[in-house]
Amino acid sequence: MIDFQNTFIGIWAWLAERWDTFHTAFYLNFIKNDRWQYLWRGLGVTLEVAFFAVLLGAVLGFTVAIIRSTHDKHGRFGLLNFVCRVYLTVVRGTPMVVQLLISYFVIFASVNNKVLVAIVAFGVNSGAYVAEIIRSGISSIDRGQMEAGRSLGLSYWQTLRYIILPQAVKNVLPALGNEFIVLLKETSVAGYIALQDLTKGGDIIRSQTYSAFLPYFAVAAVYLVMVMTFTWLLGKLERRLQTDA
Amino acid sequence: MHSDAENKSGRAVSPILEVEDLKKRFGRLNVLNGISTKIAHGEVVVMIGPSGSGKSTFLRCMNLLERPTSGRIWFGGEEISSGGAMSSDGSLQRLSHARREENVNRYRSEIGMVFQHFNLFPHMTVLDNITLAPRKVLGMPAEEAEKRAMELLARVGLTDKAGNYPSQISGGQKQRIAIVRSLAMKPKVMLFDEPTSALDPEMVGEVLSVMKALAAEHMTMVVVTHEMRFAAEVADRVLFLDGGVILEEGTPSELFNNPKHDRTREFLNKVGED
Repeated sequence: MIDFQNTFIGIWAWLAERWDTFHTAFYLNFIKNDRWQYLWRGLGVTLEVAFFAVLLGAVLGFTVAIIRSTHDKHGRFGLLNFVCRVYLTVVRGTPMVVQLLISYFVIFASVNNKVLVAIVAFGVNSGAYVAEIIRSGISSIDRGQMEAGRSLGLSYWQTLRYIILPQAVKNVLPALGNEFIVLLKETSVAGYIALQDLTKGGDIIRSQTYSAFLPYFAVAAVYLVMVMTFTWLLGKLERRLQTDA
Repeated sequence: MHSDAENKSGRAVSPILEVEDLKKRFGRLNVLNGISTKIAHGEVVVMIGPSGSGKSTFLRCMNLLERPTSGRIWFGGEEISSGGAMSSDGSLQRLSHARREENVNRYRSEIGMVFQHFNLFPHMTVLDNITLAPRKVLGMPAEEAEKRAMELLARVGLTDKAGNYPSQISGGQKQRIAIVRSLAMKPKVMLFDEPTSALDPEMVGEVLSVMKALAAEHMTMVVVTHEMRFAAEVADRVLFLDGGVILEEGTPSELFNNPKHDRTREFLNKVGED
């Protein structure tokens, strides 16, 4: 016969011991010496870099996409189009970490503001991907839309602004959202230029406490929550745009 | 001679559009091989012809959606196919790309175009579809543009659709909205590129009746269509295009009852079968 009472006590003792270990580890990694502040401040840096890099990437992406599309359609902006193509090839053909290192140690070697360098490096990188996403969105729009706009007397730019781009962006919203998620996670390599972002924060804790489990899982959980929140918001936006047309 | 400078009442009127030796080539394909015609104020011209005869291309050249390879187009006495670069004595002046674009935009704003596939803007309500160009091109205040849009919608019986999106209305309604959208710019000429070809048969009538009403108001119209009954009833002049040239033209009764060319007769027999 199974001794229920002793089994129960055994499990309870085991759990209590686990809890005790966890509690000690938690205290060591997050509470002691206010170590949680590494994660908190790191999160701030990650959000700051990601936010402004997304803005820069969007501006660059739209500009490049419009130049490329206009060139494909009208053969104008030959030189600009060439510059854009070089930009896209180089950025998409080299690793983000290498771009970040070159930005920090070569191009902006005289700039001391690491956050600024990171924003520029990640923004320039993201811009290349956003550009191709927007361009595919523009070319997905039926050419009758441009013709209808032009036949009413709207200029090329007006038609782009009021008719083509709103539809193009709506069509590629999932891909754009995905790119922003990728960018947010990619900022985790900012530690390469000794920027204390969220990932680096967890790394610093590990180097002080010699325990890897809790700091890194905490870091992973924070990224996960951010991405899930963003995905949820994006889904809401997509559904709202869907009902419009 | 044909009646290119007279309307049905026989009154001589000045041409609003004049096309001279228009040619259009796509790569190695010659689509238009020298078309010349004059379209009078208030005239309704219907273009018929087999597919690939160049009717649509000719129509699209008239508002420069296609740039002619050679030839000239005058609108109200002003040469427009050069983007306003030709002065009154016929000499070409140097104009920047931007200036020529500006001239072409202004010209297009005075010429309405209705497409086979409607090309309504799907991300805007019916009302916004109609008011966009008057606001952005003519600088009309929003209230005025909306008031005018509602008046025009009332004329085609669609005021209740003002707040709808194009995906929520039928094909016939879409095309009537597309006509209203063009009319909102107060055009001097309306071009119709097979306006009923993409419609279910039971919706053709509602679009044609709007076009008939326009013709009755002496709107200058150039219509590419396969609706021979409409052509017979409304047109002042019918052009038969084949192989990128106007093979034959005349009043509907001349052309339909007494075609001179074998090709015209053959075409009319084929379309008359249904």
